[in-house]
Amino acid sequence: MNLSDPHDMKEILVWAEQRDGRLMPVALEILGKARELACPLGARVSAVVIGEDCGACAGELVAHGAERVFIVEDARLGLYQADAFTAILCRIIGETRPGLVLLGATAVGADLAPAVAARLATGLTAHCTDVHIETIDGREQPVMTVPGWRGNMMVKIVCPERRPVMATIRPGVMERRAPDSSRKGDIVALEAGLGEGDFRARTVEWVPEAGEEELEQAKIVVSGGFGFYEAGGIALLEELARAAGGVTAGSRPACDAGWVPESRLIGQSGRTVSPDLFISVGASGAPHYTTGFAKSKIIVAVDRNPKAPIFDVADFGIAGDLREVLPAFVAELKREA
Amino acid sequence: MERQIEGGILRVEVELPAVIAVLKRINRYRLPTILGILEAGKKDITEVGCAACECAGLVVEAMGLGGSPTRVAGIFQPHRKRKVEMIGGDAKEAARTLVARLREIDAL
Repeated sequence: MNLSDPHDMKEILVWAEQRDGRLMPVALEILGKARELACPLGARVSAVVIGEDCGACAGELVAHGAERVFIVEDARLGLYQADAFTAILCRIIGETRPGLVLLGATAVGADLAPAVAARLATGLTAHCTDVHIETIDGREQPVMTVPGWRGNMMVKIVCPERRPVMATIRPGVMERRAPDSSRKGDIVALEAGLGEGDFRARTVEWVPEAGEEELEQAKIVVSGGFGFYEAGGIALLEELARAAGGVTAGSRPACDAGWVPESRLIGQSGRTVSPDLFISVGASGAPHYTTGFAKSKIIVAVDRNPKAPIFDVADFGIAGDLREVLPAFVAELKREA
Repeated sequence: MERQIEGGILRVEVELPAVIAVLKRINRYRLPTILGILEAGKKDITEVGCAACECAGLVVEAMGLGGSPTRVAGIFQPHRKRKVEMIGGDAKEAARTLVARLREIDAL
């Protein structure tokens, strides 16, 4: 260890987001990353769960690598309460003094993280695609990676002076580790210790939207670009997804045109996915789009232009008229499947 | 207020004054009228300046790039290139080959 403060990186804290007692997948993804960082540093990994009835999450967190789990349960915390969650997380950080705090870059994580960072007067790097330990300016420190310049370049960010280093991690970019149920961990129940002042903005209701499968959890994603529209539009995209057993998504132009909802936008300003199979149709392959699926296991690209940059990032490519290729692709998938 | 999160909406109540961040789709902006543009030219613009910020309890040194606890340590080019296997033939042949290749490697 080469850090100025020997206790600097002895503790890594992960905020594990849950809803109705079920952990968000990104919580387990970042826990795997925390575990990977902790080993060479000799650091301990702790997780924090805040909610109304969330104690059951502790076992899963331990199995995924948490050595200590703080459970904060309170009847008022069934839904995300910005002030209260901020106060609780700040208090736990103050008591455990982690060197690094990781949160999922969900809508809620992206709300909570800056509030905590501002209150602790420390730095936050948002929507990271990676965190690793690297020696920069003669000091071993956490280095966060975020896409910049529309995905053309990756930017390394450090937080040299302040602790804890804080980062939110995009869902879907870290690989979740296999759980090990033989792992042991301390489970610590903490009082919420909240006052009226911790509920200035009050979340009163959660209204789920139907039919929004978790894009990041899909094994197969079929994504349409601007070019697929002329070939049959959203109906053909959905047919292709159904035939392949996958879910639909789209590029920025496809979303802007209203063919694919914003919640299914793939890329730098949208979602990041790394499915087993990613099929891109009718998208030329701008970097801010490809950055959203670059880690997929297998990438198939279909586009009219054989010189389109999408083929540089694909494993299999078909260059041809989508109006002919896509129906043939669908027919072939349906055959013998 | 309704706050969009993954998979649904959170309804939030807050007493004013409050700071509210909104999504792009909350509204479409209107085009300015000629009259409005002419009116705008006559409006007074008041510059608040740093001193007023300090009166409001903000620390000027803590703002902007100089006040940021994080900094850029470097940039690099992402390595995304893969060796693509282009599949030729007419649409039917290409689709058949592609699906066969994907099944071969258990991707389907």
